[in-house]
Amino acid sequence: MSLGRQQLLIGVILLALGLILPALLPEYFIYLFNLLMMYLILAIGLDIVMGWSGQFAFAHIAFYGIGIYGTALLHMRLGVPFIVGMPLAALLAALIGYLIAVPATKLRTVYLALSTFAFAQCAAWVFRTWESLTKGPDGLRMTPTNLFGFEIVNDSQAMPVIAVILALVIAATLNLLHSKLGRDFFAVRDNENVALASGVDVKATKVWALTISAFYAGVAGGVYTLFQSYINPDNIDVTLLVLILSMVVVGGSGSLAGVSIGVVVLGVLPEVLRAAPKGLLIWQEFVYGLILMLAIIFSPKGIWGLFSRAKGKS
Amino acid sequence: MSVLLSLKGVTMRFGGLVALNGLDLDIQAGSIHALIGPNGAGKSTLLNCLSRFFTPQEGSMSFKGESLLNLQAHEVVKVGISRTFQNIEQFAQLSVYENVLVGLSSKEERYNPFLPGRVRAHVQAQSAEHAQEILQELDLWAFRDQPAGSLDFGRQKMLDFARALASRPQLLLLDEPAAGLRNREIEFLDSFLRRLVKEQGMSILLIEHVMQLVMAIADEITVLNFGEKIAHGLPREVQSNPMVIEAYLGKEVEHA
Amino acid sequence: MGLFNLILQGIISGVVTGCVYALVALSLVIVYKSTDVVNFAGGELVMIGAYIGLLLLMWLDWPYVFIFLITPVFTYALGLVFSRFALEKINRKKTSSNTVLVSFVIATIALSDMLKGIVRVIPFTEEVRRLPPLFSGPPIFLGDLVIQPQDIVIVVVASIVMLMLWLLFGYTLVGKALRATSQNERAASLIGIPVKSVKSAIWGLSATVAGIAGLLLAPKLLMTPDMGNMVMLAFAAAIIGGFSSLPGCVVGGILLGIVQNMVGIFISPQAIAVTPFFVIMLVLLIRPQGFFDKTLAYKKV
Repeated sequence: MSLGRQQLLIGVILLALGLILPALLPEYFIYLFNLLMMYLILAIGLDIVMGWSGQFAFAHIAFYGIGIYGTALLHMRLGVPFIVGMPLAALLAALIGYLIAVPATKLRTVYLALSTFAFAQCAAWVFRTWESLTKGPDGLRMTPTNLFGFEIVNDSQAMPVIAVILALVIAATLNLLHSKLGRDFFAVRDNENVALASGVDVKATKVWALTISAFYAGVAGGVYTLFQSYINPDNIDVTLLVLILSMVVVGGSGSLAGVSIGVVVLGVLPEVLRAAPKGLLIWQEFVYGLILMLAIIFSPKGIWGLFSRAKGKS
Repeated sequence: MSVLLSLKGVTMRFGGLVALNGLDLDIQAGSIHALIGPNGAGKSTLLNCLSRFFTPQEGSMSFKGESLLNLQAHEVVKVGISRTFQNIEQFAQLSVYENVLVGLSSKEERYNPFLPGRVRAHVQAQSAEHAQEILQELDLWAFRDQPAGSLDFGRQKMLDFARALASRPQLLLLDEPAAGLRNREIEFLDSFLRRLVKEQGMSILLIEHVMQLVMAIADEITVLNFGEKIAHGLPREVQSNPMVIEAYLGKEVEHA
Repeated sequence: MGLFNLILQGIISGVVTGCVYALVALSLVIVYKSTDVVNFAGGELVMIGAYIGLLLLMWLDWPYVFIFLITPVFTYALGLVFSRFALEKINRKKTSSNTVLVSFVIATIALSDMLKGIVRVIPFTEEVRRLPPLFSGPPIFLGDLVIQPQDIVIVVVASIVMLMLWLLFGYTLVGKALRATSQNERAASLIGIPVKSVKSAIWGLSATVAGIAGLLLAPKLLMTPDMGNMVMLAFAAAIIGGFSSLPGCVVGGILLGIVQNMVGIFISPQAIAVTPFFVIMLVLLIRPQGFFDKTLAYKKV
């Protein structure tokens, strides 16, 4: 199936789900869908910088936070509508991503990981202490999004909008995957020297990878404001980063299908634990650690990797 | 014949170690120039200077009249110089086909990666055609979807070749292309390189230890030892040069 | 007069906590040098050391000194097991070295979650706890300065551990084998050093040091499963040392301890939390190789 057709098909399916499911399923499941769709945008963004380009950059959640606060505050303080506010916030995230990418991509893997992690913690600290802007640890209560005059006040109303945004993100990602820049990401990951000798500007490519992934995280942050009514800096922390990382690793880095599988499996798991006999939810952290550990030891290419191997190479 | 690449007084030092010492070298357009010498003589260092992975402390390197020193490593292929690598270096997890696509992508017109469009479609169609040509010529088309890392040794070397050739270079730098190849493969290499020069007017700088190949195809040979040029000339001349023999085999033992 | 004393007190207390940061930094650098792995579970090994100590104390009711000696054995075993069963298995896959390194780091992230998760599940960790002080006794007064006896114990124990590491690496055959493996794994295996066992031993050693740091830290901090977050201070200390120099860790740790307290005095107590992150970003911006690193880096093509 050609690329264009894939994109169309995915778009139609997502939109259909977004319009039909709210009428069929209880509100809680719609909330779950919205959450998973947002996680998918975050996970794809993380995969682009870590999986495709091999850059171990842990700043992702900082950009997610900028997306959330940016979109929300532009709306609440300046009356900027979502349709403009979200892209702006995502661009801001991308800009900051660019600024830290330029020095950070010069560093060795170790230091890239540590410096971007340090940056993410600094960002979290800023969100916590800049109380005049973000209301700090008390959290920010967000006003419902207004889309072309229509107020989005619950998950059912948010779902089609999120579905459309996700469809656009996936379409853009597929285009990126099959472009020179996308291929350059993989080339840089696999062998920098050969990439240089083949004319790939390795430094610029790495910066692009980080900047683009920051944009994705910013978009995910904007999506957050569509179906959540409250943001607290504690929600934007390492735990979330590890969760998204696990989704990418367990599902299958480097492919949209793989990442989607990871998001669904690890996104639904806590709900399963919650429904199970009492007391199982507390095992969540350990179980996640265990799953990640088993995945990285036995199937580093994730569930999708197993599936591809089983299909066999022609 | 005109001089395509000209090195004058190139000196490369690593801390206290002098890898190249005042090297002069000219490569004529449309010729095959072999660079030989014992291990550690500085041959790979020279190649790395030409690829701009290293910057020599002294000397000049000019290609088609323009100084290479003004270029960064990733800009070298754009002026028409391509190279292969001694140990297998490739994009192991990308497919054979994608490896070649990376090789030729530096000459492509640029397009927005996120949007579809006519420029994009055109460029990608052209590149697909070109990649297919190269892979078929080097007998790799059957493996095009396999990850590069899964190929056997000889084919991986051919892939390195294909990737380097994809950008249609004017000067090809080959780092021990015959190492580890079987006789049949070396013969293929011999005729293939000759054809590149004859049909496409390519110039080749070849680092090699396999003397059978060097003597067969080189128009000129430069011999390095300890970073310095100790001999230069036609294969016949170099072969019988006592300094060259000494460099490889050591001094003759005085008879009692 | 008041400010001067405040600073002096800050320096003293900074040296004490700095010694603990230095220990954890040492544990991080030891594994990094030999196995190229950034141990993101470093803080959790510290935490586990503290909790194992706590459990042993509650169950065995032995004198504190014994607990102190037994706990590191457990953490040693933990490090050994992790290296043997997780890292070695990943290494066997023989993918490109960059991918393997990334997999190692992800494994340490997984380990950190598993350790935190296990501790959270144990019933009585819901309450925030504290290990009893290592040495109870009246505080010592030097003029206006107060020195807790247990702080002295911390510095003494940390110094002993650092000294032992120094002796181990510098003067014993085992230490030489460890250093050889760090510098050149291939060569080491060629001359007969059992590289896999050595690497596991290094992980065990690193975990031991981390466990001891946990026992030193726990009486001062409130114990929670999240106390591993202090690892960032250790990373900052290690970075100051260029992630390769063991004395650099010590200097870095103590420096960091002091700087933290100075930040608290001169800027604000709120800013203390963010200090290590600023230090990390600052050092990596100005002098990424640290202040103790002497190696030149030339890429071999």
